[in-house]
Amino acid sequence: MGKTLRNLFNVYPEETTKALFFALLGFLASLGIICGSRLTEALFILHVGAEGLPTTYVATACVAIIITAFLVWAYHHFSAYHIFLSILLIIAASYLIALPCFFAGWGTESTAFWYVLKVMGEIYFINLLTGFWSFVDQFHHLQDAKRLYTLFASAQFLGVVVAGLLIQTALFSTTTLLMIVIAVLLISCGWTIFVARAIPPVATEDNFKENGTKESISLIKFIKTVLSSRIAVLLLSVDLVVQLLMWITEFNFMSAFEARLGTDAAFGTETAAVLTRFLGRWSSIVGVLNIIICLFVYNKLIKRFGVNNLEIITPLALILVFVSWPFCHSLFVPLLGYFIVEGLNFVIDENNFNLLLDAVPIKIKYKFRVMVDFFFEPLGMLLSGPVIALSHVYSRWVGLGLAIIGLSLAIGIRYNYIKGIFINLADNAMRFPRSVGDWWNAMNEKEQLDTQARLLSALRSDTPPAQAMAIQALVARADPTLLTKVLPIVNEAPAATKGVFIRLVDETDLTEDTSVMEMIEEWLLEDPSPALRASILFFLAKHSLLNPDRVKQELSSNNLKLRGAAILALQNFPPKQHGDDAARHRLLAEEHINALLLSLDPEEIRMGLTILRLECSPLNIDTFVPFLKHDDPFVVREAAYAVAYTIGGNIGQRRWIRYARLVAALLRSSPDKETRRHCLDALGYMSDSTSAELIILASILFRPSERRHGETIILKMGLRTVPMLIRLIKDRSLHPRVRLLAGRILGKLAPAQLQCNLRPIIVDEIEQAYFYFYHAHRIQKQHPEYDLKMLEHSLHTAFSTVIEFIIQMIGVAGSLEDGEILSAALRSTNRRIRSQALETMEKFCDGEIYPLLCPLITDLSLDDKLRAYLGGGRIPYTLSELLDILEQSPTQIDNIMAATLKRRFNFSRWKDTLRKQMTCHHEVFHRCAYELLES
Amino acid sequence: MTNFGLIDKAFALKKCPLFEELDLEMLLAITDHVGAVSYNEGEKIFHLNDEEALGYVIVEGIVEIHSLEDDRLATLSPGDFFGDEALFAACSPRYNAIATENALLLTLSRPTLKTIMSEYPTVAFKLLKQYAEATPFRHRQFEESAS
Repeated sequence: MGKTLRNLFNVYPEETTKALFFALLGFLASLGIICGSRLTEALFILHVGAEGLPTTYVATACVAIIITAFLVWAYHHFSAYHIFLSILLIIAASYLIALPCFFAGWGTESTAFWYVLKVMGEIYFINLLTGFWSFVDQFHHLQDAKRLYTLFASAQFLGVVVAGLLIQTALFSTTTLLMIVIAVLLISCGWTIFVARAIPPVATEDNFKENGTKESISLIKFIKTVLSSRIAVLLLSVDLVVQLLMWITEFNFMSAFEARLGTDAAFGTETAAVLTRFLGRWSSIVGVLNIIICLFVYNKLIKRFGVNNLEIITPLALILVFVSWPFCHSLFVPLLGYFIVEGLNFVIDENNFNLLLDAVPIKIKYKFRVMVDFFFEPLGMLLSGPVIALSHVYSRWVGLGLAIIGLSLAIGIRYNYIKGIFINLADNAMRFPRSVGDWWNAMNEKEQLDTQARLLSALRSDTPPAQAMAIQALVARADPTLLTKVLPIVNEAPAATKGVFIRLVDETDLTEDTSVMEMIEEWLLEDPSPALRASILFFLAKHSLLNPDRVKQELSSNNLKLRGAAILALQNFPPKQHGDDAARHRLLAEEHINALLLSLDPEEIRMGLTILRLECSPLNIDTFVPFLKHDDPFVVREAAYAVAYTIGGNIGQRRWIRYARLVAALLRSSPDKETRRHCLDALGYMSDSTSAELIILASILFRPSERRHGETIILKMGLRTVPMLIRLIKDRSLHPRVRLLAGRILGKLAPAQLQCNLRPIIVDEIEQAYFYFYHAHRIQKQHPEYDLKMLEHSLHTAFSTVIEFIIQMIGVAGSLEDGEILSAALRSTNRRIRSQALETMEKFCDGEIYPLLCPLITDLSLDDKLRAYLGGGRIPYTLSELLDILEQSPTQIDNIMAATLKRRFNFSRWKDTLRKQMTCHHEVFHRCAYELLES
Repeated sequence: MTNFGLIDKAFALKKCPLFEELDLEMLLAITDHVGAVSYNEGEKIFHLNDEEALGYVIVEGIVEIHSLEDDRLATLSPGDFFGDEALFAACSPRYNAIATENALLLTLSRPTLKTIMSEYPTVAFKLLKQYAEATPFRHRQFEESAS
């Protein structure tokens, strides 16, 4: 019985108690508040009439907006638990205060009394709903929410049904009913305290995000964050429109009910009036319908269409109602409107809103909810007053227009929801590919000016590292107007800072600015230090601004940089010069360069390579190549730079490809990251699918920054790499990291091609993951006679690798910038973050893949996961069968594991099989195989 | 301190030996995920067995580290880093940290530090170096062989 109920309500065994606690709370709170709210509604129609409704909308809205300001402050200072508890107590207390008025009839002769009562009922209803869901949210993450919130909402609707029945039976007088309301609310208070003490809350995203410090967000920043999030703006807009629609619809159906049912009722006997009982009856009926939709329809709709698609239901239904209203003279259409306002609005829109909130930027999520509930909903109500009063008989046409606008906005949400979810995940990731220039561009004008002032102040400081960093940032700004402020400060700076300035400026277009060049040249007149003088001369020679006659004597200098400057000056000055002098200069330069290259001193070789590199002549490349194998790593680095620089300056020549394998070999073997970067650049400049493949194959050893760099390089090569990329993705013998890089690039270059090829690859990998997972957990239990720890470990690792590949590949196919964010989020210890990642996965997977993958990545129990393996028609293998399968696997580590275990347990004919395998495997396998055969 | 922006954080990190070799681009990527918290004189920065572990870089002020028995273990000044033990061990801190004058600290979470270390191995090496220098067994062995 318990199991059937759990299945019906989609509750996991370990969370049954928790679910029941919250469901009961939802029921009690809803019973209390709905009884009160429906009663005040009926009392108002009976004593004032529907024509007074627009006034109550305006009054309710004004009060709600005042409360909003208070609640925004309260949510910043108190927990959702304390706020919800306070709301319950305040409502109970105020009904208690109103009770004597009903007993004694004080003030009831005045219409103001009924207005106050109606406004109170409405305000309490909004407050309690928001308070309840904010409280519940502390204990559940998105995936919990998708399963359990419908149960809690159903419990609330059960409260609505019971409240409706209580009213409809007319068993209780108005005062008795009010006393019941107070009692139920007080019981809810006690239950809330109990639940908060019994259930631990779920950690917030804050713990994972940023730095663990809870950032206090100002109102301006809050508004800016809202405006910068498309999904937040759309949610606000749709909420405003839907609220406006709800009040217009309510006004219309209440007017229809009043006209049809009459308002005859004496004071104290309102509960027996036809209208009151009618509202009670239909409240119950709609409540039952809500429960049915909640329990049996909503979840299925969510699974089938996704939360983002359900947003369009209410606007569509309202279009239908407003279009058909003029043609229908019975109560059918008003009742349909009643069902939308009291049914769909809560069962679909409220639930949806709770789920869609996860796409709003995390740091404003709770304040956003308060803002919607207490500002935009009241604003909708506030606007509805004048709209209804002005349009009156035409209000239905206004409603139709608004419903059409609501539909358009809902379609906007449909497209932006998943982007919002992913932006939240991506916000947690560091943005490494950004250059300093990108950071400048990300700032607004005020921030830029502020940063600029701080940097200039750092530049004036006497700390060389701070000065160097300030120069780096200011030079990256690439703003010539800024130079007028920077140059005077640098001019007064110590020699080391001037040296840094020369080095950094050399890499920018600022070298074309005459004021920069003149200033650097003037430093020569100030009797600079030898190091700075060498740097200045080398810089000037490089830019053809140094007459060789000024430095000829330095050709025999002991200072290598000075010698280099002199050689460079001979080679470069004056630029594009022809004639005897120039020829003589170049010949002399060539002699000195050759001497440097033939030197045994690595420093001199590097200088020779640097000078030759600056020529950027394709004729020099054969001179550089032998140095790629030099013993000195710095010479190799300089040679790699020279190769990349030269190829980069002469792009488009087919002959470069003959160097591809050599450069790729260096890329794989060099421990120096600078050398590897130059190799990557060189392969990129070759711009050939062969070089692209070599980059991807080498990526197994890449650091994250190198992988990003490699990716950028191949992307620049364009569509001709597509066939090669598809081939690599499909090749299971390659390391998943290699296949992922290929997938990531293909996803950006040709997403349609990736989508076409992805499904069979992913399905195959999922099967593989199930295989690893099941046997990692079962094989030792099946064969207790063997020690299979090593095999277990290997299968676990293989499972993790395959899952990582699947997740990242799905992310890549879903146009995620970085699939790693998704897999990191799925591994997060924070359940909320994990739940958001699962939501993203669900959106990116097609309808058939996600159910297959789901058991492997969700928080199911181990038994359920193992059952999922067997349930899919898969069979458990014995150790012998398992090792045979691993032996045939395209993955090398599986082959090695199978061979090792077969040898350890002395399986029959293991040597023959191993020898056969050796005919077609790579070097690592061969080495392992030899060790096994010889041991 | 008011308005402690990205660039200020980058400069403050640069002064910490762990991050001194990182250039501006790298530091900016990190600072986006670094918090700034100020403490008044005498205020506890974290308590023994606090659940939430963070790493701290001192920007301004002096911080004292106290043991379980309230013995002063160390006095830290701007540029020093602490809280890393609990961060790596994923457990609560085993000592008290108290600001002995008004202090401004940068905070790093575990995922942030983990990402930094995988992107910039120099940071990991610096930390290892600090641990190696602080390990008494290594000291003893070194001193014995020297004598």
